[in-house]
Amino acid sequence: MHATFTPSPKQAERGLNITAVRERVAALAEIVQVLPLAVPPSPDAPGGLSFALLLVTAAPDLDIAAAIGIDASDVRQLDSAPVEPVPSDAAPAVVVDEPELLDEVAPQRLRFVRVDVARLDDAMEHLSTLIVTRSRLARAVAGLRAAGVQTRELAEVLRDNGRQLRDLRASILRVRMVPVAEVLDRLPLVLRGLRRESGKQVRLLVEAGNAEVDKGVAERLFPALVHLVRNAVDHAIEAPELRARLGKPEEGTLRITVGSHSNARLELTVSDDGGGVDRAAVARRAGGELPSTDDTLLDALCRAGLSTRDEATMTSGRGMGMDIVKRIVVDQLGGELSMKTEAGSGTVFTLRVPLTLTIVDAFTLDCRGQRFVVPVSSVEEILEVDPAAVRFGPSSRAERLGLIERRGEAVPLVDLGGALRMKAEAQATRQALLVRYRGEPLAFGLERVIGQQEAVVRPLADPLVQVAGIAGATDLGDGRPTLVLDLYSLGAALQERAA
Amino acid sequence: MSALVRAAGGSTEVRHRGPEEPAPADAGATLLCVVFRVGASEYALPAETVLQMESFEGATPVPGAPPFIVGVVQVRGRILPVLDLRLRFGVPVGEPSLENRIVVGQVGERVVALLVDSAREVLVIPRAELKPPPAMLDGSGRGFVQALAQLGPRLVMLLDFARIIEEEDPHGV
Repeated sequence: MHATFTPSPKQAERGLNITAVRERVAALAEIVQVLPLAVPPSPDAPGGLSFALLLVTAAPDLDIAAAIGIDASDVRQLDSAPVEPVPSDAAPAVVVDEPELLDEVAPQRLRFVRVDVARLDDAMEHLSTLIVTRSRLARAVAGLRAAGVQTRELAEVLRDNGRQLRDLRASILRVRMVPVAEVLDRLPLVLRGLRRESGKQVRLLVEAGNAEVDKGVAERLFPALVHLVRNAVDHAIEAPELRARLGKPEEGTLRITVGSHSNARLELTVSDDGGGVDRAAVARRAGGELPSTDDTLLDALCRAGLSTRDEATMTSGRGMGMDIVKRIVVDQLGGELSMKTEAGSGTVFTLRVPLTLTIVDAFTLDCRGQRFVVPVSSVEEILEVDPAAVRFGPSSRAERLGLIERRGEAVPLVDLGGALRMKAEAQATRQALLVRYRGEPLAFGLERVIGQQEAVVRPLADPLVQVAGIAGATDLGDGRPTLVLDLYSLGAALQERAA
Repeated sequence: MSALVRAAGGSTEVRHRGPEEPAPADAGATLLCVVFRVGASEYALPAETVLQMESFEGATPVPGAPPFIVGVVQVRGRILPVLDLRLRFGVPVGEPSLENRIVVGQVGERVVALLVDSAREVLVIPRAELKPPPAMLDGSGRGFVQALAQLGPRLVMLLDFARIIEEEDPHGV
């Protein structure tokens, strides 16, 4: 028979996506094929995507329709002869001959091109060099203007060129985007193995919606998700007998939701209904005090090699791998990782990662005589600072924390050069970049913000130059690297130093 | 060195070269090296480790990096750390000069540029001339020098690139 599943927010609300549908249908029928079809976007199919399912089954239409979340009238029999019931242990004879359906599928498929990611990287690389060249051009024009040359027409061309480059960049970035659902599609397979090994009952609910993310981000993100799923099954969700005793359903639930945090960030949550993180056990292992907040608890969990279990297990070994999760999310992707946990009722991990890598809109700034750039997306506001209005509290440390007033609220002010441990002498703070670190405002003081431009971020790959607070380097057109700051990880490093 | 000899019956046996057999011509008899100067001494790296040499026009300082890292430079689109060999070897830092070079080396996945006083020469060193360094020289235990070669009046120290770019000095070695 033939049925169609169209992902939509309405379906997602009921916990139905193609992965869930596959699982539910597999229980009732032999799935011959699932074909993705492009359909014109409509309120019922906002993603412009639909899946045709070819099934061999003896189950009634009504049951199949219920599993897919559609009306029974939308299930079509492809065979006029009644389907012979197939003994469950015998391989069903699968004969699908439906020219009409295949005709419907073929032209749609032709609209898609499979492209090697390396080719996309290549295109991106060329675009990157174009952007660097444009910076050089802009620099040359500025030089001409300074020398008294009439540059109005040149400036106009530059402006057009800049707009075209932005459009081209947006197009290439769009090409590189993959549905997050596609990435998460691989998780049920992982979970199946974990269920077998642990003997626990866990179901996975995935609500990916239509969110898309850069292929490179998706590839890096996946191992972090596997770690979190593993931890949930291994450490968080209790054995069925214990769950029954606690009055919970024997089957644990693992839920992954995906949403856009802002237009530049993707937010993923991984939540379980397990026992919550054992604070006392973490404190014992980490050899420190009892973490009082979820944030400090997460910091302790992310310390390398920590596990709250005494014995190593098949699946997660001895460590929880939270240090790896943190390294991927925070260090590699420049994102944020947070956690909320409640004893007895479960844990929620929230991952916020940039949708794309490599090219960002950035502020250029001067700090102690050195030029830096900061991604615009990480800065909430640029504040003007009157050095005379900065107040300092008592402090025993060399790096004193100042306080400035912002709309009637006191905001901590950290000297950026000091936070970076720059050797050059401190200069008067005139401006500050306001960021949010764990929901709290934090201002980084510096000499001045110079401007805004696009920057191609290259990673600092070597461990000798992997430093907290520095995300990479970029070429602003002078052929020399300019460091790209990651104020979020700098905030984290400060917190660590203060602790 | 071993060779696969296919016997008539289709089975495969492995034959090892006996000690009496000579090594294949050339291979391993000499070592092609890039030679450079740091302070008053001459050092060498196997040419196969060296990707390229560039003139040095200053690096972008990376705050928080180890003290012997003078910063990063961009070489053919790649951002590389620059390790100052004077600082690494405890030689007082001299005035920058036009002779300064960076020697870009690779080991495994890592690519690091070494800042040296000057570098000009590629030298063929007979392996027979390479002698283990005296224990006293390596007193720091860091194993930067892999071997010594006395070539007439010149003393050349063959460096261990992997040891030099280690993040921390190994303890207790």
